Amino acid sequence: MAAFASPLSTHSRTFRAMNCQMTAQVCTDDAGEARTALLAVDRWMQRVERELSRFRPDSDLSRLNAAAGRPYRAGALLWQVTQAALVHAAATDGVFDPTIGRALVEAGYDRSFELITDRRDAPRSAFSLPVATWRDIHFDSERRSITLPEGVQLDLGGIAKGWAADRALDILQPLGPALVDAGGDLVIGDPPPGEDGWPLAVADPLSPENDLVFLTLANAGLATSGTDHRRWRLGGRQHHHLIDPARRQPARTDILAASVIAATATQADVLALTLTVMGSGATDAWMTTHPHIPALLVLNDGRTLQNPAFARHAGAYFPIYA
Amino acid sequence: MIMIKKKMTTSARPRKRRKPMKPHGARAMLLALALGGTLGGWVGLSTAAIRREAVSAPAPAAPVEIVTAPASAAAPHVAAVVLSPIPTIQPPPAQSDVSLTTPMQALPQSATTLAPIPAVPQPVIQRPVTRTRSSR
Repeated sequence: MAAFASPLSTHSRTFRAMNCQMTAQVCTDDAGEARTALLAVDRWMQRVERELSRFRPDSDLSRLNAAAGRPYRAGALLWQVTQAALVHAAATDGVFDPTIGRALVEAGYDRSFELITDRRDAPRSAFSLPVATWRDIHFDSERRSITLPEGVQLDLGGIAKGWAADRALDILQPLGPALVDAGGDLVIGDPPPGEDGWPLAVADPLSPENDLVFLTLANAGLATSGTDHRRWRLGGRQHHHLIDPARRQPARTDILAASVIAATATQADVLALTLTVMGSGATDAWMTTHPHIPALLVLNDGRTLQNPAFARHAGAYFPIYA
Repeated sequence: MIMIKKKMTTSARPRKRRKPMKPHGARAMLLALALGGTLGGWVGLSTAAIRREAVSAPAPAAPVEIVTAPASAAAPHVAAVVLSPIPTIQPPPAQSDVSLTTPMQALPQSATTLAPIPAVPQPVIQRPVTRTRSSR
């Protein structure tokens, strides 16, 4: 627990879940309620991991993947997240597609990331051709069953953290202004009393101990997706975890990391991934049709790009690599 | 006058650091108060201070060489020093241009004008920054 000089004390809890470090903060005078709510957020995140992890054979998601080709009665949590994933797949025209589980396995992401080691002697990955997309998933609302096409495996890694963070904020908000940091995917509630918002920063993917931009936000989501961290070598080739659904292989992108501000962490999470997968060329075109969505890009060559919507949010901008 | 000069040797052990001595004035004041502020007390104080100095002086760890200073450098005897009277400070004449009460003249304006530094809003509450980054 940590407290700061404020009319309302700020209480926080840091924990690990979904192989990330997470922190939840809430401003309230009731320390007891804050402790209870923060513990509930911790347990919530552990539950989401337990039910949606690809790497737990007993998770609801693993059972759904194992049942591909026939209806699977999903738990409430899996049901909701899968539906949210398909809504965002439609919104991004399939650039975000949760049916990339098999491609991730073929790229070598077949275990929890900290267990992945560079395997130089391993044969080069043989990627399967796409057999189906998100459009081919069948839902039965009455029976709450999901049917995946045969050969398809879901991966909810591109949405689960943001989605879980949004629900975690719902736990904290009744107590007071709150913020949830789900391994870098942020959801920000009301500003702390007497302040304009919560102080935030975008970490520099080329130098993670430094920050590129400082922001003050309230009632928004802020997420970053990139190939800077979750990458490995397999059979002499560099791979990362952001799959291009069209090729079913790690995306060939010139974007190292993309940060997006949106109304929710779910949207920000999905959009940051989408921009990274698209690359700077397609993202540039996308930004002209979506000028209201603030986005910041760091390219592989070190250049940083931001659209005017993002610049309006940034209190200070330091183009270190310009 | 005799000067003592240390001879440096490579085998000399490092000297222990001496504890910094308290200023003699402070020590004198304390001791003077203890002695009731009498003249005898002041004499006792100076003696004590000298004794303390002698006790706390380190034993010479390195060989010392005694050198006799040249006669020309000999300092005069202390008793020969005569204090000269402090000159009286004369107030400046009434018509003087320089006066303590004269208001300071404004500096001539320079051709270069410094731009005012913009006010930077400082947050009242220092709250730790939360960072977004790719999942880790």
